[in-house]
Amino acid sequence: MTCLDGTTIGAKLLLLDNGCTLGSLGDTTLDQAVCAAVLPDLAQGLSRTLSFALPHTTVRIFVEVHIPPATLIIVGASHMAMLLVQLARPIGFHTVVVDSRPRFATPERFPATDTLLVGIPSEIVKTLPLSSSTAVILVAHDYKYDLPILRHILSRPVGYIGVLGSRRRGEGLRQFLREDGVLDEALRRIRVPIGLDLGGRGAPEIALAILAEVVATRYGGSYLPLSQQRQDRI
Amino acid sequence: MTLQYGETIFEHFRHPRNYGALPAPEVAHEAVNALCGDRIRMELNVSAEQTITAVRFRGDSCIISRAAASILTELIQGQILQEVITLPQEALLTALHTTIRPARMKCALLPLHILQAGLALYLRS
Repeated sequence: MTCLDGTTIGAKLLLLDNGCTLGSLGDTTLDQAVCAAVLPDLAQGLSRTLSFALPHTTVRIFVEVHIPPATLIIVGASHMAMLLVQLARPIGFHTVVVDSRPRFATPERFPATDTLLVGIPSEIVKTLPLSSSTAVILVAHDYKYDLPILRHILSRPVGYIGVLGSRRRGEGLRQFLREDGVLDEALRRIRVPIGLDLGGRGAPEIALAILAEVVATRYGGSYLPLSQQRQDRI
Repeated sequence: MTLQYGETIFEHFRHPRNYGALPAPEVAHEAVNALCGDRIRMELNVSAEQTITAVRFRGDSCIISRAAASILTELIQGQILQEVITLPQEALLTALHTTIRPARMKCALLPLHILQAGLALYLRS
């Protein structure tokens, strides 16, 4: 962050996503106010200029955000995973596909994916960096993958957690995790069924609905049509 | 679920014995059921007298595979390698204390097949 006005023009403050700071904008109170304003929306990755009122003046602060590339981790090398990878690449996601079956997780089925990993899925996911710009989608439709992976990622700051399946199946997963001591607050982070209600029924339409929800969640979208937004937000 | 698979399988699924990894296993072998995706890794420590001194398993697998792996680790603890490599399938199936339908037989026997394949490689080397 860089101060654009006043006697400390050019002063810089570095803020990490864990709240640690380095440097100063020239005023401790200003540092704290800027950090409090920026930290909650850091995962959106939006650089912008903000204004802050000081006792006798107003200063502009340029906030330049650097975040890891948005990563989409898909567990289960299914037909749905193939469609998700195809759609996610042009959006800018770094895509990772994980499965235990070498005959499904092949470069021929996933020519566009950045990383294809075969092994014990729950162990593989533990080796991957997980951050607020990471989305994890479980499409294997299989408890043996879903439960151990959910146990792990629910304790990490993953930006989006989605499970392909019905509401009933989702409740079954939550019940197992609840019995393992996972708190309801964490369980509420699981999105199942996944995707926005676009009304589509085909697999490509479902993939689009899933990615629409992932993108809306990342940027704090309203999930509503722009035409129904309030005038002041347009 | 308890009624469907039996008390023994359900208990070992929920509380698997010897789950995890060994720091320096003499035998380590992993394999997958290519269709359903059950993947299990078995690890053993073997003494100079060719007996199994420690055993661990881990992986992502269905309730039957996981329970069978857990039960298998209890069956082979302290056994001589030659006895384990010839352990009949029936010994494991009996220890499951339920009837396994033909469609799920591969699930129940996957840990034994992985174990015996790993031991065969170890003895050959």
